[in-house]
Formats: sequence, structure tokens, C-alpha cells
Amino acid sequence: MLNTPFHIKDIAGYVFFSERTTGKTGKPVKIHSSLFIDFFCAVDPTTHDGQVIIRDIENLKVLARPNTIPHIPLPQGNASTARHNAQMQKVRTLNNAMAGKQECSLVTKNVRVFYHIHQNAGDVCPTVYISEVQVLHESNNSEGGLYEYKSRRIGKVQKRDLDGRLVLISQASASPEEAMESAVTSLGNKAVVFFNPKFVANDLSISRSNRLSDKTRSIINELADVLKHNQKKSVAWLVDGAGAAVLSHALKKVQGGLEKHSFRFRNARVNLSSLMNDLTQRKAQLNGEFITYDGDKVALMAIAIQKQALLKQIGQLPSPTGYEKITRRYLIKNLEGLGSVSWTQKVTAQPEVLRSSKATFLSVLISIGSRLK
Amino acid sequence: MIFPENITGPQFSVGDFVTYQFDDCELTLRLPVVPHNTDKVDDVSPRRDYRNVNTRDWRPLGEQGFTFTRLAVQKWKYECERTHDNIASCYMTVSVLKHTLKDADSLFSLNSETFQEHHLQVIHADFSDYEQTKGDEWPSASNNFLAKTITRPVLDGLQVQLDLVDGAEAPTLGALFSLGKEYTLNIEWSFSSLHYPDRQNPYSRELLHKMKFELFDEFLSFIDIEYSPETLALIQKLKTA
Repeated sequence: MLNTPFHIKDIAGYVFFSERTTGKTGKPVKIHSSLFIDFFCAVDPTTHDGQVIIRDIENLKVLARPNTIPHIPLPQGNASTARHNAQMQKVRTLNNAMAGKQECSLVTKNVRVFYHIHQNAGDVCPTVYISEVQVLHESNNSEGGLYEYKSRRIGKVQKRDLDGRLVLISQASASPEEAMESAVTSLGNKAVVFFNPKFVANDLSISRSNRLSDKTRSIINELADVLKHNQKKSVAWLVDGAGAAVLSHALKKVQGGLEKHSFRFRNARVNLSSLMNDLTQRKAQLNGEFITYDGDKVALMAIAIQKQALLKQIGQLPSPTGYEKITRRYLIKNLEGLGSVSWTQKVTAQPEVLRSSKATFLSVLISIGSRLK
Repeated sequence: MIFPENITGPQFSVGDFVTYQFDDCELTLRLPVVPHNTDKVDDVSPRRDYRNVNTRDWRPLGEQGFTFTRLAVQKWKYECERTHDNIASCYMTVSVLKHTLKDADSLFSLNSETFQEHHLQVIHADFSDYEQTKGDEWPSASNNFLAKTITRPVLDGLQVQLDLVDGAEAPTLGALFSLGKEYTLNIEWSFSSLHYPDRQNPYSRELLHKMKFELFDEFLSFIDIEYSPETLALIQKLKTA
């Protein structure tokens, strides 16, 4: 009798990973369709890194090993008693069942793939079932926090005093230099940057809530301290990418209003409607076209997922006056358009569509990705 | 260049030739072909002619009067061929510094000695408030920012190491070359070791440190500056004066 591993609950949700892994050569490799949105956000098949990851997953058809727990052989000779044999049989059954349920992992670049090898009803041979995909970005030892130019050096801001300053809360970036370059390009030479190292993106995903690591928690606490220190001062913030998720968590640790703070968001990778709700309650300023987007597919996914809530939240902002009426109208029109982009709807619908389709996971990923061009 | 121990990455020897025109010279760089990735940085200035250029919107560098614009900003990664892990990242900026009118008139940049002296003076002034506490291998005023001459046929360049970012694991390598009376080429090169949250970089710090210097030297070896006949004559005149 076949034991279905307890992780594989929804066997009908598994689809072939790609045309190369349908079992014509090597073991078939299947992946659960519910992983589509995570995979779409983490792996771009048009990039060098994305292609290496896809090739490595495809190679599981040859390289995947069934399990590492050895099967216990039958006892040799007649030395054992019947009772002993019965006990050994029990142990063997349990051990072999555990071996079948054992989860293996493939680690390649920033992706960890967890899989089981199993032969279910309908499978012509043992098949690789991918049940989980995790993304862990690589990083260096750069420290997060506030940075500014001091003469020609990029130095940490010691007193956290941001009165009258323009501050970029950076996207998850490789180094303070990269974040500072983005800040200066967007906000000018006197800009300050709150640098978010790459590891924050490991914990702050738009499609699932992960447990926050100590390092990410410390970045969130640092931003919360900066906000508290400058609560009564006038600060203009530009919030980029995953920086919006850091801000969203940091605000939970700050009591009171932010009346003199203005916020703009660029490619926000967060549930923006709830963040806006929080900022509106704190009387923060959200003026002009305060939500912008310039080609980040994860940010566009975030807009598509929460389009209605976002539009509703904008509708609850104080009525605009003068020229603001026009910019508000443009903002709403833009968001309506971005939220209705056909491929974003396709991506969100894909986990369900893939189940009943004969297409492979990768062919759908590539066909939707090509619409981004 | 042959990379050590299964490391792969962009090779400068097959990079793109990019040429910029200046009033006193023509500069040719060999920029690496950066693999397409979501986090890549590959901004190369579309402007190739910097003769009579409007410099009013150039950014200030330090506090000694230099302004600059970027010719190229690139970031690429090196990976382990065996595990496919990204093991090191290189962030490079190539900028043109504009001299102040007074400095340009002094012709400091048309003589190897005065060029190096002047830039070292500026670096000492810009880093006057900087206190180095990280040990002898880090640059400071006392070790003259680990400066050394980059020997070239017409005008020598200057190589320095600078602690440009708080908390960086290693100093930034810098190289300066004269682009004639009014401009200096400024290259800044940061090289950092990468690791994943669940494991350390398998390559030693020493190996990556050595690789950083070899890569930097190789990049510099492809820089070609052809001075105009008038500038060459002026350089020669100053040499014999």
C-alpha cells in the first residue's frame, strides 16, 4: 500500500514543473499550483539568476534522492523469536513509512525548494513533489539605519534629527551606497536615506506573513525610534519597495500623530490600504500623486491584489482642494488602470487555473512574464 | 583573468568598449557586460561627448570645490560554479570630476607629481574629521590613505583606499586619472563578500581580498586616455620647465 506523505494533502493541486520534467526522461517533477504567486514574485525566468534556479529545479529529475533513512532489512537466520520478529516488523513498518514522508531540500542561489519523492496512484514511477519554495536573499554585512553624506563619506546619522529633511526609506538594497545613490537621484544631494538591507525582503513578503527574524526586528525598531524622535518635527518621506513593509511594522510601535510628516510611496511592496489607513488616522499628509509605480512587478501585484481596498481608502481621504483635485483624479485613474492590468489578474488567478490546465508551471510563468515586456 | 577556485563572473577582457570625448582627451573604458538580473545596476551615461558640456547640475563631491557627474554605475556579482551561490558583489562608480576655475588655471592636472599631490591634499582635507579606529590595513591620514602611483606613459594616475561608507567590511578602492586641464577621472570600487542567512561564504576572506585587487588592476589596465596634441605639448612643456 502506498503511504501518501502527510505534507501532500492536496494531490490534485500538483502540476508538472516544466516540459522537461514530465517523466519522459528521469523522474517527473511536480510542484503545487498554490506556490505560483510566490514563485512569480521571486524568480524571473528572463534573468541569469532565474534561469540557473529553473535549471537546477529541472535537474531534480536526475539528482533528487528518495530519502536518507535506510530501510531496515528482514532479520537473517532463525535466532529470533516470533515475538521479537513481530516487534521488528513493527519498527520496520514505522521506519519505512517515515522514510517515505521525509522531506528533502534543494538549495540553489536564493531559493530553497522542499520536496518529497513518492509514487501516488496515477504516477507511473516515483515522482518529485515540490511542496514549498522559500526565498532567502543573500546579503553582506552592511548595517541598516539612517545614512547621509558627510563630506564625501556616507556616514551614519548620529542624532537622528530629521527636521525639514527629505528622507528615503530604501527598498531592500545591497549596500548603503546603492541606497544613497537612489536617494540622491530622487531627492537631491541633501537627502537622508534609511537603508534597509536585503535580508528584510526575506521576512516581508506581499503574499504571506513570515516570522520576523531578529535582524529584521531590529531594523523595524530602529525606524520606530527614528519616527518617535522626529514625531513633532517636519519630515518628508519617500518610501520605496519593501521599505513600505518596514514602515508598516514600525508604525505599530509608535503612539500618537504624525501631523507634520508627509509620505509618498514608490513601488510599495505592502498592503498599502491598511498602511494608508494607519497614516490617515495619525493625520499624516498624503498629498498629490503619492503612490507611484515604475515597473516593479511585485509592487504591481500588490496593487492588483488590493485594488478595491486601496481605492476605497483613497476615497476616505480628506476632500482635495484646488489643483489637488486634479492630481487626486489622476492618482485614482492610474491605480484603476494598474490594478486592471490583465496579467496581474492572470497571476492571482493562476493557482486555481493551473489545477485544471494541462500547461506546465514554467510555461505559464514564462507566458505571463513575456507580457511584462 | 583566471578566477580562482570555481568562481565565475563578468570578464573585463570581453567587456564593452565605451568612449567619451573631453576637451583635452578621449577616454576609453572597457565596461563589464553585467548579467541581466532583477537587482543589477548597469547605468552607463548615454552622453558620450563632454566637450563644452553644461556642468551646472553636477553634484558636489566633498567640500573642496569639486563637482562631478557619473559616467557609469555598475554592480555585478561573482558566483561559485559548483553551488551556484552568489559569493561576492562588486559596486563600481566611474565619475568625472570638474576642477574649480582656480585649480584648472593652475594646470595641476597636467603634471604627474602635482596631480597626485593636489588630489591627496583634497582627500586629507575631506577626511580631516575622520578618525580611523580599525587598524593599519585601513586607510587614514597617517598612512596617506595607502596611496600609490599608477604608472602610465604620459601622466601617472593615483590609487588610494578610502573608508567611504560607515560599517563597510573593507575600504573602497579609488583611482584618479587626469583628463586634461579641467577634469579628472574618478573610479570608486567596493567589493563585498556575500552570504546567505543559513550559511557562511565558503571562500576565505584572504582569497576574496586578493581577488579584489587583481580585478581592480585588470579593470584599470583597460583604461585608455588619448590626450589631444595641444594637451600633449602642454604636458611636455610643463615637464621640461
